[in-house]
Amino acid sequence: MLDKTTRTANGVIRVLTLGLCGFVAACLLPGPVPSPTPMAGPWQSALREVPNVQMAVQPLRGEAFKVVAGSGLLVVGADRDSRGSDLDAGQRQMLARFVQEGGRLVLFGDAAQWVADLEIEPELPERGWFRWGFDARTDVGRARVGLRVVSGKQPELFDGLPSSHADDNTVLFAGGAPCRLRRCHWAIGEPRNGHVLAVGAVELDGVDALPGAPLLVHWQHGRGEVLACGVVPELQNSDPVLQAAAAAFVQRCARWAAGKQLVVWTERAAPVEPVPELLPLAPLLPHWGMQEPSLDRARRRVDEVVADSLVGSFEAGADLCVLELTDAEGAASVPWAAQDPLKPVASYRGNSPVGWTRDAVAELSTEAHARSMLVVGGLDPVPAGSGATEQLVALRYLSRELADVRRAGAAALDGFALRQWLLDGKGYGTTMLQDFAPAAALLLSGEPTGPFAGGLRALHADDGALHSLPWSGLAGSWRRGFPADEFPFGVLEARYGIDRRRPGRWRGGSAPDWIVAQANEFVRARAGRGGGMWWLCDEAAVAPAALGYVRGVSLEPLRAAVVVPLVATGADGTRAAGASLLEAPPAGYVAGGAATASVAVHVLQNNWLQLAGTGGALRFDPQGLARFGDGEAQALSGSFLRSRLFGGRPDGGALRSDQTDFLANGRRPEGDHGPVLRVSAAGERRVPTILAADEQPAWPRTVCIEWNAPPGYHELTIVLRAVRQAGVATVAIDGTVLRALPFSPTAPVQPVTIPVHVSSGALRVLQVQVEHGGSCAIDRLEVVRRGDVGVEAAALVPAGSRAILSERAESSYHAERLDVVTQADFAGFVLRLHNDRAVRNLQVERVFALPGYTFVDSVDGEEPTALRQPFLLRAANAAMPDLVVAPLQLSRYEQLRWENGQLSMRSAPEAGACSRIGFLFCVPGEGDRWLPYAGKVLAAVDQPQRLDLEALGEATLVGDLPLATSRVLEIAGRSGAPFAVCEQGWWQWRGSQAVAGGGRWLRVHQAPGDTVRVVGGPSVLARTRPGPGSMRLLALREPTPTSATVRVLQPSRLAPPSVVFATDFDAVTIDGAPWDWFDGRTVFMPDRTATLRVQVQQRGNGERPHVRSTRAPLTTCQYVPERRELVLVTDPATDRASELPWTAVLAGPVPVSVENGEIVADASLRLPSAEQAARAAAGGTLIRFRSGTTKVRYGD
Amino acid sequence: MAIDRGWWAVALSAIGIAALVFPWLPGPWPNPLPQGELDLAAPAVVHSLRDAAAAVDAACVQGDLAAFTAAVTPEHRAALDQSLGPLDRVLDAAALRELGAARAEWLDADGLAGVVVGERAAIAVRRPDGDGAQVLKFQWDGQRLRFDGSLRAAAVRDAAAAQAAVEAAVARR
Repeated sequence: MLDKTTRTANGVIRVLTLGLCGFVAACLLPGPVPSPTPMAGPWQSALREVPNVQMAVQPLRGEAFKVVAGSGLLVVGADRDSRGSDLDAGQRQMLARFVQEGGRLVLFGDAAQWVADLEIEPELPERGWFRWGFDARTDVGRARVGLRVVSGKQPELFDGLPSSHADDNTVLFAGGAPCRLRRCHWAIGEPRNGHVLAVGAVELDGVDALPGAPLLVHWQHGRGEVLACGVVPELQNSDPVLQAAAAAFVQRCARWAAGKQLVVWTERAAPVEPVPELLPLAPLLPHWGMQEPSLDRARRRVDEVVADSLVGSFEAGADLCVLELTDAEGAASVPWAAQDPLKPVASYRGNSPVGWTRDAVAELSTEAHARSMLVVGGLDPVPAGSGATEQLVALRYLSRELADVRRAGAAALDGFALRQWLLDGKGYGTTMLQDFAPAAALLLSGEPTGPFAGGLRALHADDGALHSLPWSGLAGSWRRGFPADEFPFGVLEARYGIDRRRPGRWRGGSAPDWIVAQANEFVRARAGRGGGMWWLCDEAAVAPAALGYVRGVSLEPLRAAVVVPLVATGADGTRAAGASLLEAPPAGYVAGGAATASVAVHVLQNNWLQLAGTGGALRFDPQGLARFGDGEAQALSGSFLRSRLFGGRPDGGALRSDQTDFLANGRRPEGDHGPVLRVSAAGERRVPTILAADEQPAWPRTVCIEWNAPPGYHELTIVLRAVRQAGVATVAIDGTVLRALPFSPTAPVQPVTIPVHVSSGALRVLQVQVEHGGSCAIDRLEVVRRGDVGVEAAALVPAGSRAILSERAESSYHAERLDVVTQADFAGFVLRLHNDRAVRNLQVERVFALPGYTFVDSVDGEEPTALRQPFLLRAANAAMPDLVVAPLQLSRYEQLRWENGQLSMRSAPEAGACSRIGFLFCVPGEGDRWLPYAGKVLAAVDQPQRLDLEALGEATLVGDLPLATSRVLEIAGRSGAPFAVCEQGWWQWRGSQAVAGGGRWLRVHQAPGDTVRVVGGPSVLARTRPGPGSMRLLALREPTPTSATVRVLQPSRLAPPSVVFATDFDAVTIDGAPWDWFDGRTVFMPDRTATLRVQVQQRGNGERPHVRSTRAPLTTCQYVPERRELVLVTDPATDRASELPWTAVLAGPVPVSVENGEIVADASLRLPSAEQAARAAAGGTLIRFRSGTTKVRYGD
Repeated sequence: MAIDRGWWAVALSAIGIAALVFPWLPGPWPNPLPQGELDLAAPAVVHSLRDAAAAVDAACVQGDLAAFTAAVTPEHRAALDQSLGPLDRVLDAAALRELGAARAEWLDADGLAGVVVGERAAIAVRRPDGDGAQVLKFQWDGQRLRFDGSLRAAAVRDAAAAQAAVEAAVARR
């Protein structure tokens, strides 16, 4: 018993002792237990020669920490945007005492601001991003950043630093191309208590900029000292010179600070924000739309814009339309009368003959709002002088005229998109707009970035251009400096032609592959996190193909099935040709860093697979994020399909030799040229001597030569000699670009041989066009037939829920077509083989190269050497997907054969014969589950099920597979609107893809046992449905005219989520609680992911006070009749500038007072007339209020 | 029998003159076919073309590669090589026999149009069953007419279209 008690006591003592030791150790530690951080490694490595260094994670606000007196503390600031102080009051007090008592503190980067937080320095430094190389101001975009020493004090910090600049007083330790880094410096006022040791030194593209603001400052505070350096030296910079300088400077700072020991705080790893869980087919991006160019009223009416553009995009799921309100000269079509109560700005430009007038804007906005679309006015630039006051007043005037929701209602704009704006840290721009349109959004796109309070940022395609090259757009690793959280919106490039309207700012030159690359890159970073994109387009008539791609990739963001030739990103494409004109092309410019093939290759891809033509590489992204670059994707096959002909007999009657010199008929001289010269046997037979980008009528830009091309493989030899300036020309056949060719006066003139495949012997048009630059002479242009087999690829269905790559091959023996069909978000494809002609005895052997795969099983236990039923292949590498191959249609004597590690099929083709084989890639190990059903799944991909929406416009679809799949339905007729689709009880509003022969393709998700319901036609807009800008944002369960369960799938950021109910109402509850934020039949909800039960009813007690319109993130909006109060509560966590109030339009009686806000007098708004003021008053009462709880009081 | 010295003198003079003259004679002879549109009613012209085509046919039937090479243009020979490439075959006697004799007989068909431009000539004849026209091309190499290929012109239905086809066949080469 005693022993037991003793043992127990000993145990307790041990535990207590260990606990005490732990406690003491914890107290002695200077802060939280160190944990791995992204920056800790390099700093630890750089400071390994400094004694007693201890790495730790910088504590968060509210976290306890200790610093030992007499030691040093080195803080590495965070590499991200931060607002306010990093420290709470207790932490500030503790650090201040640490310095006061003799500690030495070194602050790098944004942490330099701590000197103000600790009240060591009264002058607050400015934090922000230093950026260079993110817009078209430069071709290089390289910046090096550091310090220029201006004081002889603290020499130990600088003595013996490795040379990084010609000037001994300058040390550069950060930078890149492009360059984006945090900088904290005293740009407004110099430090008052500290001694400036160095100012900022910046070198842009090798040229020194003027010395900057104080960047390295020293303070003596109490018995301690502080050193603040507003830029973090980059210890891992790819430039070894900068890296060495950074390490040396950091070591000197550490030695300067170190006492008994040195503690280094590095930033905590940024938390990874989880992507909200979306419904299976919910769009990854909630908003997309097109930018409508300035309206040339002589050529185009608003109803034509609606019919041609708006409705087409709407059918494809667009919910946004941006109107280009200013013309090429920066003028709008909204005149400003001299006697207007809002005094006109002298520099205002409002009389453009080409542009969107008030009436045109109102007409289009009404049409768009009727379809639950949002309309934003694009101002590039604001049509007034560059002064801040002029710009602000002009924006106020345009807001009053075009966006006043109280006077214009549905005809008002939903916001403005600005291209250039003043540094607006207080939100003045937002103030101008929200006095008329409380819910409207103000967007600012592109570089240069600066504070923009209350608005939304968008990246802009123009910033993808180089100073000397016009090709714009951002994709891949090209100028990757627009993070998704800071830039939730994007203006993407779809202008095929170079837009030459603005001198010095030529932009455009997009292509299908560039459209896909931009969209994928943009959406991938923003999937499920809100935001949107809109496209800059040529007029529809200029490049109709662009519309197909834009609508296709926007309909199914990231997941879209596409077929694209590599015109922009190909190894011999336009961007590569342009880059070759530069001395040092910037990294990532050509293809955004992705591996590329030749221009002529047509790539079929979706988010899972990429096939570079049937004979090309097959790549697989196991995460389904459409990443197919080297090192990102799995290479399933280097060359997927090879066809071999044998057994045929040559046809002497079809043999011909051809060599054509297109210059043999002489040259057409200078003068009297239009932009395009057509050369034909029946008309002009001479090719112009010179082609020029911009010299009409002296020389044309394009020559189109009719060519009676025999089928086969040809080689075109061309010699272009630069005449005036350098440039880029393209060679195309029937519009399909074959090669982009640079020409330059300084480059040697060399013949270039271009492969030309001709698979149909009709009259073809060979086109040579100068895309950009000066002029060039065509010194040689001839074609020689070199081979019997010609293979041409085309995008039969370019982009969307479905895409079809078509390759036609013709020789003297045969003519056949290979189609590859796939659909969005589908890891597989179907290969169709059509034979149109074959000589007698001809046989074809097709070999599918699938290295690493082995035969596992087949459906009916067939031998691998004679396969006519689906079978399973599995890769030796367990990370690679299983592959189910399903022969869907074979002729009587055809069969697939697995032998010696390869899959082959031998056939004797006959005219009219057709074979179909499906390939389905599955999660590793799951192929067995799919094997019995792969045939059905792939057959549905090949031939979408036709669905008749009967008289009511409704249909149901019952699945018969035990596995969840997505399938495409073919619905007859034009819908005029998106479809309402119910999957697993949730209704979503979904765009569709146009079918060339009429009808629409709609993709749906079929879960096992679920009955999918589809509703189309006008009735979609008559039901309870998502409100403006919410079509791709919401799913509704059990929607009735008076209720629905609403699931907000992701935040919108552009407009609050809303539901339009199918009936009138005057009272709303959300989850049973009264909710008074509605307008007409539209109920608005907080802009955050949530599932809410919304019910409406008509009480008939007169109009109840409620919020009609606001952008405030209301969490409570309730009228309390007992107190005659409308209570508005906003989320206090909002990042809105404290000086910037919210506004709202209230319906119902006029309130008497507002607690936490004010009623805005209409007189202060300077409306154009008393009549308009009365109209505004009839539209509701405008109030301003601040975040927190606001009480709007009503009188008796 | 003694040889007359006068004859020696004549013979030597003739050789001398020949030695002076022959180097100045043109190597290739000009194209004997009349330039411009062919008079298809003139049997001599069609016979010349037919002879050239028949030489090719004969070489094919006999599988005589050397004769075939001599009877066709190098470009046509190259085209045949191209045609056999996809089958992994080369031009040999067997391939020639498979090509068969199918050229000369075209020239017995109803002629639609013909043209001679420089060294090149082309003739279009009506194909049976309304299947357009067959265009045969020839080239004068300075010594003889060589066959330069044959092609179907499915869209050609009348003389005007045939004229355009033959002009295209000889143009811009």
